Amino acid sequence: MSQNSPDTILDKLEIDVSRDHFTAYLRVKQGAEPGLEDIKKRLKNERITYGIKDYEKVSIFLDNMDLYDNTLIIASGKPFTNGNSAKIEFRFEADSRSEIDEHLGGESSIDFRRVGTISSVRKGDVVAVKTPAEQGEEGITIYGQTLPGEWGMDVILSAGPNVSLSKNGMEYISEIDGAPIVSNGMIRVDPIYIIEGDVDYSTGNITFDGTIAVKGSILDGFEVNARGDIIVENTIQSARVVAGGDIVVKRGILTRGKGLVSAEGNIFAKFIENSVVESENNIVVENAIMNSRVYCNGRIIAMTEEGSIIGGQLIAHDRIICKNLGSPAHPTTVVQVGFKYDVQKKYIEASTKFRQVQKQIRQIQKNYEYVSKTDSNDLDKLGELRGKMIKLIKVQDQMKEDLAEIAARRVFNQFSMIEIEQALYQGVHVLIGDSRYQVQKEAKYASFKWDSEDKSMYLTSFDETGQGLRKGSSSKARTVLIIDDSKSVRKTLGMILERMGLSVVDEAEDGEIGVEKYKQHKPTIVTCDIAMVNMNGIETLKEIRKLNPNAKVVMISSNRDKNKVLDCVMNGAKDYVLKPFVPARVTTIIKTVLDD
Amino acid sequence: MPESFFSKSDMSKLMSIAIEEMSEIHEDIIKECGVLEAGNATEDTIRNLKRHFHTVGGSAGLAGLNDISAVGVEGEVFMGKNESAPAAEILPVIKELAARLRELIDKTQSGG
Repeated sequence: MSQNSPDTILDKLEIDVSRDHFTAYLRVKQGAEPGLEDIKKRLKNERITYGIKDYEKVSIFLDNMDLYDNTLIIASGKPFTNGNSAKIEFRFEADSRSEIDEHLGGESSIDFRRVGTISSVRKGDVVAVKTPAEQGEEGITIYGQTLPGEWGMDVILSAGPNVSLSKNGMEYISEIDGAPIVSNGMIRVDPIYIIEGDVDYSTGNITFDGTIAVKGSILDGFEVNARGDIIVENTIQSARVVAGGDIVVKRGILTRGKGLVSAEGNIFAKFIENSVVESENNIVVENAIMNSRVYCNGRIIAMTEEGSIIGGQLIAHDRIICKNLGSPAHPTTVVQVGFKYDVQKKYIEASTKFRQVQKQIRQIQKNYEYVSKTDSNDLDKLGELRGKMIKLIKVQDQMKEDLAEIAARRVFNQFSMIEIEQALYQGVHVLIGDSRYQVQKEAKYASFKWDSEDKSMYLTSFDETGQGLRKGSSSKARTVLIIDDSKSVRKTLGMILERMGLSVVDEAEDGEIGVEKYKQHKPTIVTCDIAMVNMNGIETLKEIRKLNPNAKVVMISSNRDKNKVLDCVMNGAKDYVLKPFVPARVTTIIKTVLDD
Repeated sequence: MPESFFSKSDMSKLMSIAIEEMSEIHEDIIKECGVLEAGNATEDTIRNLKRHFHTVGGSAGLAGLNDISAVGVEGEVFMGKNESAPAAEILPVIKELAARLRELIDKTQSGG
């Protein structure tokens, strides 16, 4: 067969079609000398019918000297287009709070001059108009197939309280005279109550089922409650201010350690000083947060102007973002992310009370030991101490229940972080979850994040390497020895404790072996069963305390051993867990003993 | 044990460790019954039986095997009340408890 026989030529014409079927490429294999008719025939065989290149251009391509090295787009379809996305046009001046979501990363700053602008509308006014999404133009593939155009993105804005939709669903109409508010994908109109001056003796306390606008300040000792937003032109002083929506304070919040500022929405303020402020959402501050307790379940942001956080305690579920954290004077500044603030606050309160009871128990333990050694015949005194201990253990048992219940609700957000754009100073204590780090050296451009594999926080910055952070804060350095005659209890406890970041150094199925392993590993903490064969839990505890009077031993036993548990506590056990246990109870008790 | 704390695979691993342990303890109880039957029982025999039932009660309860745990608790209480009783009196009860234990372990193993 000659080199140019028709079949051979067609075989040597390669046609590649793009995945979307909008482009076909032609390549001629070495040695073939095809004519236009061959190309047409090849395209027909491929059923390519649309967008075929002008045959004059194809001829030029075929006459090209570098024919075999080049590729020709032989057919081009008509791609479909994307339609315009839906739009919402507001018929009032929306303030920049509605832009908060775009600024949550802290990359750019919010225009505070436009925060808290109150617009008013009348009953029957169209407050917003929606332009629906459109479909793009249809496309045609090289095979002649028609494809519909893409629809633009829709925008969802639901009609909230006091707003109705027109029949075509495109117009949002106010049902009352009031202030239009856009929040969380909803537009509503709140009734407005305007206080022309300060909230003081002339107004008294105020409760209103809508938005309250205060043209002056909220003065010492007064209360303001609104179901909607509260907008204050001047300052909030030692007052109690609670909003179902946002709180916007054009100047600052300075309650001098008294009162409370609390919002279910966001809180915006120029500054917060010596105050208690809490938000279910985000807290955004223009200048500084100083010596305050500031809690939120979203983000705390201080990125505009000075953007400083100095002194006090701040808890955010998601992030804390600021320009400067701490100050050259090194005031104690505690910042924590990772837990919902309300749960975390309860946890801190319950833990503090629990520790107080533990302290009392330790004192009775010491007294009991002292009396046992010096005057073991004083049975009255010993009995009295035992009685006191029984009472305290009952109290402690209830506290354990409460703590375990709170601990179970303390869900850690492992994506939480702290970002400092400029300076990080000594005196700052950083917590991500329960991992704590104290800043020892000034650093710049620092961020603290959580390493979910290593189960520790890490720091990246220009000035501090974070080496000490990983070493110092990681609870992995803490070790545990598990002494229990039940294999399944050992394994279950091991898994729970490892999830806490503890390292299980060893296990022992009996007290005698346990004491030997204690000598060998000197673990941070020991969990010890009570009923065991060769050496029971109380004897094991005594032996371990002979080796180390400060040993942290937590007894693990069944509910039926309550009297024995009491003996253990009188003999220096740091705490006890009754079986069957739930993980939250074990982690709570182990954590409080470790922190003791 | 709540699944939210442990993954399903962790749960199944812990469960199989618990069942294996229950089987081992059941064998130990049967051995101690043999000692009782042979008339060679000592204080240790009674103490061991009580401890075996105690472990069954605690470990099975922890793994959520409540029926097995209940047998363990019953056995421990019985042994506690009958520490000085003659072997002939306690042996039938222990054997009956051991048989129930075996039955429940088999049932759990077969996914029942």
